[in-house]
Amino acid sequence: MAALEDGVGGIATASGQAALHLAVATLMGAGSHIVASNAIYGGSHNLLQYTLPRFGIDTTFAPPRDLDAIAAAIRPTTKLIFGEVVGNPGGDVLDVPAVAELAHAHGIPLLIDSTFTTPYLFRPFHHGADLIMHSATKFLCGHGTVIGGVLTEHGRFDWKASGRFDTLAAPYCGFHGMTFDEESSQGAFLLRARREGLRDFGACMSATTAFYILQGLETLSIRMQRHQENTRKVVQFLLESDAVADISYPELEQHPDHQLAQKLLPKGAGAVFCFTLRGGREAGRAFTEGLEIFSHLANVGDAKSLVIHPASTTHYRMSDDDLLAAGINQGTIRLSIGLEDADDLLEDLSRGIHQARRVAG
Amino acid sequence: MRIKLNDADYYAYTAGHAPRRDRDTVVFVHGAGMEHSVWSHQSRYFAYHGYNIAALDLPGHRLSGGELLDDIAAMAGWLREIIARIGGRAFHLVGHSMGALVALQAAADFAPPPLQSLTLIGFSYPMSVTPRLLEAARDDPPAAYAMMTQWSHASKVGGEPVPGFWSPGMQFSMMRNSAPGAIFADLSACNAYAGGEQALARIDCPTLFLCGRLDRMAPAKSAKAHADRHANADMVFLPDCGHSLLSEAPHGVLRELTRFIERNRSA
Ligand SMILES: Cc1ncc(COP(=O)(O)O)c(C=O)c1O
Repeated sequence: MAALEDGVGGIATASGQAALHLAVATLMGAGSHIVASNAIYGGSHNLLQYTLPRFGIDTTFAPPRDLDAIAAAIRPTTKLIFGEVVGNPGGDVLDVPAVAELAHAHGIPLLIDSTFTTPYLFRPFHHGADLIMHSATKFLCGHGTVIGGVLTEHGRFDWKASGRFDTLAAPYCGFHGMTFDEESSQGAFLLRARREGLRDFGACMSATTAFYILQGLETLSIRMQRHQENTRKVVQFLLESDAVADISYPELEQHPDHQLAQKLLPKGAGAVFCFTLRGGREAGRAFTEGLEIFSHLANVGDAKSLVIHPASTTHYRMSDDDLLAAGINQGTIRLSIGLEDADDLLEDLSRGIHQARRVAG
Repeated sequence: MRIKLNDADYYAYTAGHAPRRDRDTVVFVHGAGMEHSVWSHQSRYFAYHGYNIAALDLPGHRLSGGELLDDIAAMAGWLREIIARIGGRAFHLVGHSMGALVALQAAADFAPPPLQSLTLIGFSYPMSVTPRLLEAARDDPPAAYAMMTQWSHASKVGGEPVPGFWSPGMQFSMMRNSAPGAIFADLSACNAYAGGEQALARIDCPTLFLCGRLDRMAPAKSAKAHADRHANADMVFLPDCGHSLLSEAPHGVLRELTRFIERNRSA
């Protein structure tokens, strides 16, 4: 993974969540602060919004498109800026080079969750990121068979010059008084993450899991090509359907981040996106239940195509207003497009749309 | 530790241990565009096994102040003065690539306290630098970093011996983080160095020549030719690694270093 990302090294973790937690725990402790995009995976949002404050680490969320809001959120105690390349549900594209520049002007590292794009579509280190995390559970493994995460470091961030990182630039009693950025000038973060976080929290990857993920990596490029080709066909198909009210896919000209996506993601914007059916919750539910090839699963990045209807599953308990605040409509559907024959997928989607139309009347 | 010399302030990695006068001191000298942490898989071990260590940043490199030097004899002169300030019962000099030239030249001119051993890793003499690389080092340093990283590694992607670190990535990053002009100054110094034969002839302490069998930057056969002519030399080839053997074959390098330095420990 370090080679694919062009970094100095990496750490395999028990899950994507473990990778994020390890990054945070390595960089900071109580009294620290994070600035995060508000278009991030729900689990990451939970960790930052509800769990970490209990340990004295607060997060300010900002819309990924609003650089001024991100800048305004930075405090003297900020130790990390965090975002996803393509966020859900709106497919917001993070202007990684611009956010990196902003972060570096304040002596703060930028951590990118690159799960949806993988190194095949986007290499964050080439655009200024300092740390990258992946949920390897998704495209890297590619078959929905194991849970894992990866954390990589670029090697350019100067932890000492920043002045914000005692964990890396001062001696650590817990490991023979080691000063990590002197011990490993290029991989200080990874060294501490391994010597401390992996040891003390123990969220390491099992050898069997590593085997599955390595096997997945061998076919990553051709799988991503196929994921991307299929996705474009599906997007086009949905675009032409009058049952569909809206599609959020950054390759479409009407998407607010179209230009940015063209610049940062020339190979494609990935295989996970949301669209909204006319007819509300009932239409969404009927659509999902009408599909035969798409698996009804909350995962993404599987070889199989996956579908989820947030309003009747993951976000079932939310009121319509709360849903809207999260950018989700009652009829919003999330798809993760797999490697099947595209025509089979389109036929299946027609079946779902037929069912949705019946309940929508 | 920080060492003051002629108004500048230099850095030596000591694994957090202050040098003791009753111990042998192992001094590590890095190669072109590198810095002290290139030795991290070897230096620390000695600090925990009865030695003082000093893995230096040469002038103008990483944590050391001072001006970049583009001359091996000047670096060697600096090294002798630094060693005198570190102290110890006796000394072992270990150099890699350009650092091997510096260690060799410093050893040839060594004044008491005694030099117990000299280790030349990834050594060739002459150490001529291909014009293409030298020009890139001057005009387009990232291109030079890429060439050196590629030519220095024999290993393929995967199967890294050090968990979690990718040796080519580490080497490239080290050079990318080096001071402007460092790679050109260093390679120029290697290319211009003409004192090797004379220096080798003056060395009488035990000398280890340690090479990656697949080294393309400093071909092993050059080291072998010098070792064959040296009265007190060990010649060791490590298989399956190239010029970046410190990280490509960290365990093999450490094994040979400990074997050799232990054998030549003072008293
Ligand atoms: C973008 C993103 N980041 C992180 C995660 C968390 O990864 P894991 O499920 O491997 O803990 C997910 C999982 O859904 C994700 O989609």
